[in-house]
Amino acid sequence: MNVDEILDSYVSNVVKRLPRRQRVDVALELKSLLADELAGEDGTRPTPERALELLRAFGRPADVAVRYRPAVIIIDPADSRVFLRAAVIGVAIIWLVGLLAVLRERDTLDGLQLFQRWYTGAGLPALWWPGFLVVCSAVAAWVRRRWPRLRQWSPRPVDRDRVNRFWYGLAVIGAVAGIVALAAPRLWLDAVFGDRAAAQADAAFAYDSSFVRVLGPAVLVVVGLDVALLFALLVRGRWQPLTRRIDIGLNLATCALLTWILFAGKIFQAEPTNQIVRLALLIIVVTSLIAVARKLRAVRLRSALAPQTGRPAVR
Amino acid sequence: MATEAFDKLEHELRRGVVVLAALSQLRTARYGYELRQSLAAGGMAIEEGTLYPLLRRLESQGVLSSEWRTDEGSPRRYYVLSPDGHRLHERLIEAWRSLNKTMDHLLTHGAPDER
Repeated sequence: MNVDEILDSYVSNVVKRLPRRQRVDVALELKSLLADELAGEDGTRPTPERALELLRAFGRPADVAVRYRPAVIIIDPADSRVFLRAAVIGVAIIWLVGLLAVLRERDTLDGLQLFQRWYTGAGLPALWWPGFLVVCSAVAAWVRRRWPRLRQWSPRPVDRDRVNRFWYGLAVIGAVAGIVALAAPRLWLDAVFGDRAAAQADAAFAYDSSFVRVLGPAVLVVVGLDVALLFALLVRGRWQPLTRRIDIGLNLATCALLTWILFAGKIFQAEPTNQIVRLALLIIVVTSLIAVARKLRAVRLRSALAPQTGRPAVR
Repeated sequence: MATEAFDKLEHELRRGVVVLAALSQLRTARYGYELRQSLAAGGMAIEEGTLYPLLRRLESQGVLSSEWRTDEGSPRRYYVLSPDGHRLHERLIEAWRSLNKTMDHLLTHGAPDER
């Protein structure tokens, strides 16, 4: 390519990224300026090598085109890290769940078939999640620009130690109902369906004998401790350093126990129930671990702020 | 590392004054390459990939006006301060002088507790 062709190629690459009404005008000007730059260096005849050198220093056509028009912000810089974290965690969860679903067929499929099944079922489709987040971020960025008052920060009363007794009361009732449902599935089947509960429903929720012997009682103990903690908070009305530590410890114990159950034998005698419950347990473990990480971060933050605000540090 | 940090920070400093430097030379009409040469001769070298798109953006904001001229052979687009651009330029000069004075004071005398 000669110098003229190189310049034309570059200029057309830049202007094709600009609005149509600007293209001809910018193309004429940019070509003229680049020709001036080449001719003005030392008076010698420009060579294709020198033209390439100049254009590479000028910048990639896409980057140059961006400088000609106001930047379009799809994800606010302030949201970038949140977006990245949510995208990575979301995709990881979808991949993991897809992997577990595919591994159920490991007896009938070979490694390559399993990979293909995972790739088409979860690997590639998981990318809908970052796409969804991009759309949400773009809408949020647009709303903030359109109504700038929404960007204004305003203080909220912060008393994170106070317990909302109404919601904690509901949580205690729900947890107790959950323990009853776990211990005796027949009770809620009868409560919901009366005598109409089919024998198949009974069979579907019949525990495996090995689970009932060891892990079942352990689950009841951990959930029982959770209920006791909720009840204590309901009575006292406030979180305290000790109850926060107990809460984190119980969360970790619950995660450990549920992970053990995931990898141990069957929970229910019926395989379909097992699969659904395992998926639910996996989601509970992942969300609990995220919750523990957030609680630990909050504890560290409160410890760091306590000396400045005069509030006692979380011990 | 220190050199890299210096280059980056110096670039940031220069980027902050590019607009004012360009406007200072556009009281009379100039085309892009001529403006760049003029700034470089005054000690303010600005990359062409930065300056030329900047002229277009300033024109779209109403700070500059432009026209094509063919006085010296090949057609060139000449830019000059618009009436609004003149007013903006004066305000930017005031802001720059005030900032310069403040910075000069800070850099000469340091922080209050160092005096």
